[in-house]
Amino acid sequence: MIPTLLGITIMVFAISRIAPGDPVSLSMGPGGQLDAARAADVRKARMALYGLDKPIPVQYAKWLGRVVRLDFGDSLKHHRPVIDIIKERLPITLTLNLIAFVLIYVIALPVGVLAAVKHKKLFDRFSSVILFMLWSLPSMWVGQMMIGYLCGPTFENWFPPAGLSSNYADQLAFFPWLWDRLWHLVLPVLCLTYSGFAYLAKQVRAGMLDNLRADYVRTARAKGLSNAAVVFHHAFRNSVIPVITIMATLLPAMLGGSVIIESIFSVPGMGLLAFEAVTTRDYNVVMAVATIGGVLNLIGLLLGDIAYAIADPRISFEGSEL
Amino acid sequence: MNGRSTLATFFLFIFLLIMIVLQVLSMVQADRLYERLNHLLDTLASSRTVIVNQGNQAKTGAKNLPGQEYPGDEGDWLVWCLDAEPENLNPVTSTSLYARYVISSTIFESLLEYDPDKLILRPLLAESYKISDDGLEISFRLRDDVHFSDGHPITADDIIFTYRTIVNPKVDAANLANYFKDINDVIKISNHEVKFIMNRVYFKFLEIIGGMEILPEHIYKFTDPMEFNKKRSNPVGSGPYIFEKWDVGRQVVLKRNDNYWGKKPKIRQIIYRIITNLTATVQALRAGDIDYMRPMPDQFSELSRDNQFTDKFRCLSYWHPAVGYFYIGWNQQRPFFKDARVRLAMTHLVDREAIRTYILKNPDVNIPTGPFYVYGRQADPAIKPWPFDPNKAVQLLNEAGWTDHDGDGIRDKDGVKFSFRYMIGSGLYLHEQIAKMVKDQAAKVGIEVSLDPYEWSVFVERLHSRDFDAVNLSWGGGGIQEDPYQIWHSSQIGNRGSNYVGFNNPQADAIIEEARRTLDENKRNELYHQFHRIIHEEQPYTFVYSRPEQRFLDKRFENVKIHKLGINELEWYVPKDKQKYK
Amino acid sequence: MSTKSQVRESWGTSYGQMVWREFFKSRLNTACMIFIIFLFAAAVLAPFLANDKPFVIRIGGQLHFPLFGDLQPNDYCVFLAAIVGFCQLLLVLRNHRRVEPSIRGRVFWRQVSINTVIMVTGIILIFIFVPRRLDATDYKSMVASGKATSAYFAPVPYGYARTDLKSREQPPGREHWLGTDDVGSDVLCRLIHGSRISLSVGFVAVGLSTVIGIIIGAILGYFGGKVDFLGMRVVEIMMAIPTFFLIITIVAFFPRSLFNIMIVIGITSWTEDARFIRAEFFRLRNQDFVQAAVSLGLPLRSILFRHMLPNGIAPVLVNATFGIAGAIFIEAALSFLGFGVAPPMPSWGQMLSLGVSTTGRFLWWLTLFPGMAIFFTVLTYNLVGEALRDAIDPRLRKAA
Repeated sequence: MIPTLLGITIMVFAISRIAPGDPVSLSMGPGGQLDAARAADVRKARMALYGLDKPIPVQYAKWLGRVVRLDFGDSLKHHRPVIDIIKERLPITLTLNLIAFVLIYVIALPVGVLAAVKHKKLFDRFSSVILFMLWSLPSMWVGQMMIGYLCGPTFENWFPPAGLSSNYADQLAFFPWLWDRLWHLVLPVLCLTYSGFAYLAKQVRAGMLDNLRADYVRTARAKGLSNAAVVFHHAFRNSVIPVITIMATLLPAMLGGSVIIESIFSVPGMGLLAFEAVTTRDYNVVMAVATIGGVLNLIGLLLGDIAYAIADPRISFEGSEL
Repeated sequence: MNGRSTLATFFLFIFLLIMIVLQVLSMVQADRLYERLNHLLDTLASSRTVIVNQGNQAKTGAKNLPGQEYPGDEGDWLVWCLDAEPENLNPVTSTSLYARYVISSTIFESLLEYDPDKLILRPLLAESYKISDDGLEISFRLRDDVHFSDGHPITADDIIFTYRTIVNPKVDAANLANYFKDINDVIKISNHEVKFIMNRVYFKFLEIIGGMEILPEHIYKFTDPMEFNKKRSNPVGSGPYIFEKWDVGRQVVLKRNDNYWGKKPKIRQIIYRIITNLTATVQALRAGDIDYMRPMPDQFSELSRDNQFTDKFRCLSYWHPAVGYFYIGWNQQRPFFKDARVRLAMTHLVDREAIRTYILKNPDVNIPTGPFYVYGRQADPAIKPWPFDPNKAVQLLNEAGWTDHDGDGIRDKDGVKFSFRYMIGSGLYLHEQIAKMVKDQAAKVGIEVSLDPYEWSVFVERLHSRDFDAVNLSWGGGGIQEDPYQIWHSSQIGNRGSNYVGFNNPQADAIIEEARRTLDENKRNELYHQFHRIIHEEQPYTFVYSRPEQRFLDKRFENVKIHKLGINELEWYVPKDKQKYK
Repeated sequence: MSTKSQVRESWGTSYGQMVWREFFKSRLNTACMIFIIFLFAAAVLAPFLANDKPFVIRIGGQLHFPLFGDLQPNDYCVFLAAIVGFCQLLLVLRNHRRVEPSIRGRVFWRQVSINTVIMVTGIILIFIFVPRRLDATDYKSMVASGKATSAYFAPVPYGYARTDLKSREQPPGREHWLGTDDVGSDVLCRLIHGSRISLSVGFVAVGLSTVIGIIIGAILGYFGGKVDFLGMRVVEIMMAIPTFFLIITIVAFFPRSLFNIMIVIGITSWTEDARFIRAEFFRLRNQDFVQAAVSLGLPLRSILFRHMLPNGIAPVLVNATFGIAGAIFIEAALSFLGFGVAPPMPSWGQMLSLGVSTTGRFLWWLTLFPGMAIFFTVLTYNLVGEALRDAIDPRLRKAA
């Protein structure tokens, strides 16, 4: 896992440094305040202040040395420790994604199973069509339509258009505060959920269909087991295996996909942070986000592999035999 | 996983997870309550010292409370909306306009201020000032009764500390220090008097020194300049509001300074909420989440015509000297735009009337002819903008030698096709629309334009390295008396200076330099009129539009007056029966 | 002496033919293929469908053909590609009828390579000999003022870069059938020209990612051991970096062009294909025919690409169709965020971003039509991919 992490950091470091533009000239901006004669000196002084004037490999080595001690440096734009910024933003993104995650599984599993059991009947065809359509909807379109229709005084005013909490949220007691938070989260979570859920439901359905035609299921039915036992006890547990591997890829996809949702709904999460950091060349934040994102992804992959190994006793960890 | 159904365990697991999450959340909430309690105790403690200090002052002599109170009822909050977050609330190191909104005039004050209607400098923290006859020395005398929000009186030491901090090369204040470049030193004459000594005569020094925001030395003092650079938050000043808290990414909260030495405002709290999405801002306004915002031009033109909207919100549109202008810059170091006739032809191709009518939808928008504030005294009112005239443009292009020699429909000269790259910032709708219009219009006369959108950091980089043919940009105004040196003098072309288009005109240079030395305003303005005429003939920029400042404000606020300098939020109040927040 | 048809019958049905037949059994799939063909036609013929220059115009007695004269090198390349592709399709059908199955593969690859050479030389020649032209004469006003006596315009007589500030943000009406956008360009015209962008992004990006994925996956899957270990680390690195983040960073580096975007999307999405191929090759490696090929001493690339690949290609093809839908999504998202192609090139995602004006006013025609275009395109590709998967999978056929 460590070499992978190193590889990620090297790649992101290289790309972000090669890209033109840097935070110093950005903060010096196009504002006409600086006399040309001094501009060059000021720029040099500033670059030295932030350590940006050394050669790139040296900068990387210094960064690595700091990160090993868990010091991600200061944000070049906000001038605060990067750790603090991430501590504020990461829980928000994680909350959003985990709730969406749980919802996806809770809804997709029953729907997929039901569709497989009632194969070719009305429920199956109907849900297939709906799932396909949901899968093909672009999320920014849905987000914009929802804000336009559900958040304004022109149509309905059911949900707040932006942010995570209302103005007066600080003065609320615990449960009203929680309720207010949840109310703000409904639309972003909805946007995150629908596409993942469509994909997963289809996978579950496909897996279940495969298993329901297998010989051992026919044997089970022949033995006289009830339909519920056959479906849940046998077929489901075997078809859940590819679903678990999907879990590993779903989480990183959601972390990346939430950039659009977060920007549409003004939710201050990691996606928006990464986006802003890239566009303002805030190198420290970019590297920190890439590292933490990479770590989370790798953990997700690892968990997926472990879950896969636990769920399917046939899989062994030895890798390939020749 | 033998025997028992795994589904039940799955749901049990989820249930446990939810319980744990709720527990953690309630612990977080308890934490926040503790924090608030501590904060309350702190405020109580600090107000105790204030009361003590006030008692002391009452003993030393009669205070003359300046001015009467602002009119109206006391109370309520004003919720602003900013569309970008200030990175830094330190007036010396911050470079962002948004920080100005939050701290200038509210938390920090300066020695002098501009009278909002007469537009001349008048004393604020200073009691009086005097300029020597040769113009190289300015002395200020501080008021006796001014003090910071924690009760400490303001003395000459604070002024000197502020100045020395700004010019300290290790302090991250290069932008600001640049203005103080030719100030030699400051001398403390007494506890309430200082004298600034300059190297040369420059008409703006009074404004620069008078506008310096005074920091309390006892709070901001440092041994290592990096300490000061790191002080980004918790600003403490002498102004009518004090800093309460900053929820990063969400809001900055200011509370009224009940210990203020001057005219106390009526609004009890100002909250600056940060919403980056423009559409969400309007939604928040209409939902009552915020009270005050800066709309985009099309938002303003549309909503100010909507009766439902204007019933509840004021649509303010006013001019002030810092409105600035939007322009298209033609890079004179590229073969296309070396000739002034070509630049004039390009100006004739931009239909500025159509932009004003259809894109900005605001008849109040002004089409500027030069870089000065259109209603100021520096601009020559006799100069009228060049009209939209494609035929004239064709004529000028032909005169300058750009004709279609090889029959492919694109003009060329000396083997170079008139095909240039027009740089715009990506995601900026107004830039894009104007650029698309120019491209279409240019195509009709045989000029090929390709649009280059770049994200902001790359845009700024290319601007500084002059890597563009044409660029869309806007300048904010320099104020009541602007000095065109930084943008138009030829010395600012190299070294990443602000003369991005490479404007090099010796006559203009001479006028700028002479004007800097002229302390008499009328003589100076005459020089600037000449400069204005040169710019009008040379067209280094195509000045596209200059629009008034626009705001939306909840109608419950009263005493909203428009002065020549703009609006002053400090004088607003909300009548008791309409107050929304306690 | 067996007749020609008897010879043909003895060939049996090939794998491809079986899949084809299974695929077209459903009417939904046929409808999807028709829609895709329709999309392709719109993309290829875009300059003839929506153009502000007339096909033919009579000025002062003389006939002019402005539309044909204004065709850019890009248009000619697209025509060439369409013709070559169509010919290849015809050749494939001919192969199935005339050529014996055992040599059919070789013949097919020979035809493909000849066609590729034709295309590449064609593109080079086009760019050398066809000049870039700029013709912005206002033919419509010529007709209106009477300078021209008669003219025949394309069905949608607007250009996608023409601005008309007076009619900006108009809802659908008689003059502009689907309304206008923020500078007055016609929405229908931009929709048609935008299909070019979306489809080309889809194909080139997916083509690139599939090729890279196949090569890497094949090498990893075949060798295993240390090569596989190192390779999988590289694949994991690519998978662990948030793709969108990477794309935005790279796009900021290069100037905005369609080509760059296609390449970027291609080189960031090959990991799925690589994993599929690797898994397939693991499975196939121990099979007899592979062992036989190895023991015969055949060259490596022959083993990989002539023997093993055809057996493992099925899931990759299916993934490719989903990949096209994904690439269209990504391009739309990029354009929506402002990182896509440079304006005024029409892109469905960019049009979508104009759908809600900053005041919150809902410009429904700018949201609905591009949104539906993206939606239907992606839907069709997804359905085709799904149907392809069903057609390829023998178990379902047996069960049904």
